[in-house]
Amino acid sequence: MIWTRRGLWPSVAIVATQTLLVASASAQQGTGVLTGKIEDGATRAPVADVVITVTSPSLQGEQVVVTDGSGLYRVPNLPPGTYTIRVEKETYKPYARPNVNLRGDSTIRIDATLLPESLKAEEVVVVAQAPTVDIGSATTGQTINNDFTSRIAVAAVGAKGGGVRSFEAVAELTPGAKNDDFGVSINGSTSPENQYVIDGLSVNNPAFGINGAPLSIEFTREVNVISGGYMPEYGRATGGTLNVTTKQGSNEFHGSFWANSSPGFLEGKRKTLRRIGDSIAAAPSLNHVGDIGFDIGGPIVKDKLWFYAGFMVAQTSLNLDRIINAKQLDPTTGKVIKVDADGNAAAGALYDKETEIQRQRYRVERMDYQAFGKLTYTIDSRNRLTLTGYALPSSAGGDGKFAIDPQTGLSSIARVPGQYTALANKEISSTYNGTLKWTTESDSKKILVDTTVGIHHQQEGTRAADGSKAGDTTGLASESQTIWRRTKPHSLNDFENVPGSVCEQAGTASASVCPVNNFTSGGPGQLSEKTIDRYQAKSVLTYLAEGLGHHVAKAGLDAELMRYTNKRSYAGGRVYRESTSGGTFSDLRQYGYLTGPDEAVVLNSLQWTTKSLTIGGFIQDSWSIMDKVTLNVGVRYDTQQLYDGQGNVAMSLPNQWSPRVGLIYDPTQTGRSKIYANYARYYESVPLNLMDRAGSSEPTITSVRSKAVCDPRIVEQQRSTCIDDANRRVVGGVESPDTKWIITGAGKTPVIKGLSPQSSDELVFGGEYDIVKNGRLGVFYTKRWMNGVIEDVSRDEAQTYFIGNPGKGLLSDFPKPERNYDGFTVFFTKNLADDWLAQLSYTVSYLRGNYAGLYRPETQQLDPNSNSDFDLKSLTVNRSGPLPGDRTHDLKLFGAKDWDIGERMILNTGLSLRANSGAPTNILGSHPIYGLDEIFILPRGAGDRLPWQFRVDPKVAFGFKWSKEQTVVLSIDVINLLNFQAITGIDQRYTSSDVNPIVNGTRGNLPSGITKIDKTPFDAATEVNKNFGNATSYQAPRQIRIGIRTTF
Amino acid sequence: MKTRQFGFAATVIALGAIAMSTACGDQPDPKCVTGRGEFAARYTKTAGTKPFCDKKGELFGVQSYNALGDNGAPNLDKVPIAIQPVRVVHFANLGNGDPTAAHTLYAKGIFKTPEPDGNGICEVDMTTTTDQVFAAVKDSGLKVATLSDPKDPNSPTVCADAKTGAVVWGERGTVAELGTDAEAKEITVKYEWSAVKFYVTASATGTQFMGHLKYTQNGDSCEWDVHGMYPSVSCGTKTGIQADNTISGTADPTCRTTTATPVLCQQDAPADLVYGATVGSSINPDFKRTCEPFEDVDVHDTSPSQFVCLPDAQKFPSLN
Repeated sequence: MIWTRRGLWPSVAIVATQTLLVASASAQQGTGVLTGKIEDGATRAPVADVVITVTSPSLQGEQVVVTDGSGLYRVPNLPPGTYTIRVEKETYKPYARPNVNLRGDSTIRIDATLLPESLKAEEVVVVAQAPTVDIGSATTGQTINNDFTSRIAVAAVGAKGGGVRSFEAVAELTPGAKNDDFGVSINGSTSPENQYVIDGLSVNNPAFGINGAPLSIEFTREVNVISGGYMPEYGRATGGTLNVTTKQGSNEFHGSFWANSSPGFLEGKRKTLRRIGDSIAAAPSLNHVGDIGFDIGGPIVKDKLWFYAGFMVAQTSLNLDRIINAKQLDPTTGKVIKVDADGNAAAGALYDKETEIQRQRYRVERMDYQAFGKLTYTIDSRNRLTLTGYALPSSAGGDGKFAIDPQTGLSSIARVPGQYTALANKEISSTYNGTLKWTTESDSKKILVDTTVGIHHQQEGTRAADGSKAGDTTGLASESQTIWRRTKPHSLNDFENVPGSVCEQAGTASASVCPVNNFTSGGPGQLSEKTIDRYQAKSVLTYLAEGLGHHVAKAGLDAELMRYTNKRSYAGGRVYRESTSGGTFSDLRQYGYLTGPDEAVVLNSLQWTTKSLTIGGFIQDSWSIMDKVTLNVGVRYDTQQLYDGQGNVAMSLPNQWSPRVGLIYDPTQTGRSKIYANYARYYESVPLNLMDRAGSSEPTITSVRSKAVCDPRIVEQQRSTCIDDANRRVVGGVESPDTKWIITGAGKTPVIKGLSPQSSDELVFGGEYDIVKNGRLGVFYTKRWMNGVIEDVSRDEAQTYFIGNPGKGLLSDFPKPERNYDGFTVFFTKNLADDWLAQLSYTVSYLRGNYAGLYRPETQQLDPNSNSDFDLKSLTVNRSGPLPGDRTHDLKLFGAKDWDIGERMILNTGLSLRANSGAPTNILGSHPIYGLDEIFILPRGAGDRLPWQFRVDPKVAFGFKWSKEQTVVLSIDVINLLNFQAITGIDQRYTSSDVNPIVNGTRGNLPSGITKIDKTPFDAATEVNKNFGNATSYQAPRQIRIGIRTTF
Repeated sequence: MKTRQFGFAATVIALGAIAMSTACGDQPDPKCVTGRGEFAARYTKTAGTKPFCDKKGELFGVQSYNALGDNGAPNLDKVPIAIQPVRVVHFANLGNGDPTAAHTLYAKGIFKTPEPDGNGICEVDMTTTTDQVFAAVKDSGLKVATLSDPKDPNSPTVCADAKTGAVVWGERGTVAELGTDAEAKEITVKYEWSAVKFYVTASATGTQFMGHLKYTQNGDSCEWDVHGMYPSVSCGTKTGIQADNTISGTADPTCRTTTATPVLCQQDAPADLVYGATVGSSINPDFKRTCEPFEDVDVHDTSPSQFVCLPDAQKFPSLN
């Protein structure tokens, strides 16, 4: 019994336990636990001092423990793998159980009954199946390992991480998870809210929260997606936790060599989008996605020092055809001939009749390189050291190509309405990590200490297509971009030499045959160089104790320093924008500030270094009360301090107390089932982007000059007449002391006193049962809701902003941010055994509220904690309803079977079926200050639901064993076999006019119920967007991945 | 590991946790800045006998800046400001002023400290004055408001040309100053500020100010205590036209009388929607304000009664 000095503890209600102090719960991060009870077969009494020996190819050496007074044994800190447990005591027959599949972060209970020796002196090998239910925890989620990923088609080719087949790309297999714009969304949250952990080190991008290390599954042993119900050892995430354990060496040399290819000619036919608009259209298609690599692992000293290393190269290459169309005009009226969706002329039809004049193919590309290395060293029977390092550099675009956007994984542009130099960037996105982990345990294995230190380093560069960088004074980085938007359209010949003479010539006042409404010319616009670091150290102590049952207590402490240096510029110093009349050009974007009236300092670049320090700790206990029922209880404490670019504390977020309570009961008392309930509070770790922009200030100024003195298409003028002070027009109003300059951005966004950190609560109830050998059936219900949100707001309609908690305190007049998730899941999982595996899950869920998360799905704005959701009160009307991530039905079915053909050949077949109902849509209008699509005319979700999406993905692999250890496998993955092309997005813009929301309105109120801001009548005939409700995107077409792999 | 060592380690953790929770203070103070744009300011006369000393107030444009900092970045701790009387700009726009670097339309100053004091007050050192001489201006037939039916005092007023009686447009701020006869007058103006301070908190960054103003016109002086609020919002409703809470309303070639409509000073969305506007008045809802008669508010309308949202007279800062 261990008594604590209670008085020193902060007053936190921890449910009844005498052993208050030590850490508790099940496994260490990334490792598993084997536990169980040994009984005498004759008397059914527990047997003490039984020697338990645990071995595995994943384990260096062996682990030995003895059972305690109640017959219980516990072997913690085991790497995931397949184990054999030997049970021995004098006077009893030795007993062995092989093939125990142990996953990371789980506890498997193996009981045994010892038979007296008098029966027969032979080892009894029991080949009964080990249970699969993890009896130590109330978590929900999924463990994805190589058994699964080598048999089921995973990591869709065209999606984020598809080229390298990153661990994040496979996470969407989990019940309750789906892909969102920046990664994987779990239980209704957004991808920046997850914790991404590789070998105990957090690899989130410290500036934006999304995954910062797209490590390939080739180098991982397991990806454990924890979607909910997790204990305080995991924190700082209001989404889920993706816990990755990487591969390691073994006592034998093993390795593999692989290559995959998804060629474009095997892509399914894409549905083309009909469009209205200007002369430039686009047709995307797949060119090639593929990777090649190898890995090798083995002993340097057997049972003492192992190594593992790997390397791969991946290419993602898409085609984007830029098509120039000339409109066909009716010779009598001079207006564009209108055709319907089938191309037939019809009165009142929507689309323009066009002929193609030119087609030019661009590539959209990304190259990834991944190098991985690990050393595992067993110092002695009680101490183990692991050193891991990996480098993941990538480069996309430049030199005539466009880039795959590193954040979304998709092409950075949809079409090319401008010049290559203006729209293309070279994107560098590289991660370099190192981790050192030291595990030490006491002889009795009752005390374990796990210490990890690591560095996560990211280098991100958005450069000009010729490679020049933010702030450079030569190259494309020194040429300004111009945005053309004259109401009377330019002819395309104003910007490029269009072949033939169909298009109007340059200088035409208003073009109809080859009009361009929005065109971008010149240099690349905004560029940046970002260096993002995380230094992390943590230590977790586990203590086993007895007292009214058994306790697994844990305590931990961790510290994390994040640093973000962002150097940004506008190429050439500014972006010009043409006025709608075409008469002037303004500095749409320009870093600079005024030191006095009309005294301007223009900045060539702006750089801030911001920091965040987070210190956290936790205590928890997993208490097997009288060994009948398990109570998991604990609390986590975090405090985060954020520093602005001037080095001062800019935001202070202490007192993040996260209580967690869970109860687990095994009705069979043999590890074959469980019923559980769990409550948890989770806190958000604020990414540094907020500090870099709102927290440090982004000063911008604007001026205007006439087109008579400045033609930004001419670079010499950009550097002379366009920036000459004498040519700046008077722009200030009568109240402005500045006549030639307007300050568009200045000052830091202050933080309200009494700010509370952002957090979310969760309740989980569920049950599981081992119904077949190696398979279990389960149900669970998850409920999540937000407690408070940090966002930037304005109480005076965009005059001044500050950061606060909408709905609380001073901001009680703002609606409370809500995001309510209710999900009910039924699932069945069977691990690979007897040559087959299966997984089925069906989730019914409701995601309702007015806050989507750390990014805005409507606009893909990734500015965590400073999106536009709560900026103005007038923006918050009609915002509550089904959120963009709401999918009522989600069905996932995976199955695989291996067929032995003779002694040397094997055929693996796998199939996945997915079906999910569609996303909600909205009816949008324009806000007078914030512009297009910011007014919800009807309540959120009032539009039509998108249709159901289906996907069938088979995988076939043929393996040939040419020696005991060497195999060659040829595989084909087909993603979307039947080439389903469901509509995945529609035009939600009902009107471009500034209109009022119709509070509690319904579809019947359109269009007669619409009122405009300027009080003129709403003219449905001209002001309703003719493209409203039409498809804007379709499901990705069929892709085929062919692979070859040799293992030895 | 022994029990004692372990208990020690755990105590360290506990103490660390407590230290963290108390060491971190609340959020930092905002920086001293001003609201940027047009303020409506109330005058409370403290000295002066001339009729123009009884003015109810004026509109001022205010802007704040940053001194040059390290590596060319703005120095957020050194914030110069400028205050510019809108009326003076109107005179200048008639082409008669002489703004030079020495005689500016605005008065300059600089905040004394980077952050406000414990009460949210940032004090300003005003270093220059607004000092202008406007050459003679001929009366160009600007409007004056007269009753449409001179015999009926309740009839709506219309704007009419002083000489011909025809209804015309005029420039704000000139009629009252320059008279309606043809005699040209030169006018010199000087605005001298002292004791200027701004109210700065996280939710109200420099959108109210207080100061003392000595105004001299053609040698005669007045002194006022000035209390200004940003943004300036016209709360007069023109008769015959639906309420419009933006300053530049739709062009209307005839003057109308206006009536005070205090709800136009409010920020609440329901009131806004009633008036058919999605956006509110833009004045911070924490400020206490009233809708009061003013002069020279609307550029297109020089009716004698104008109304503007002013901070409550009682104290500075004026809060609910």
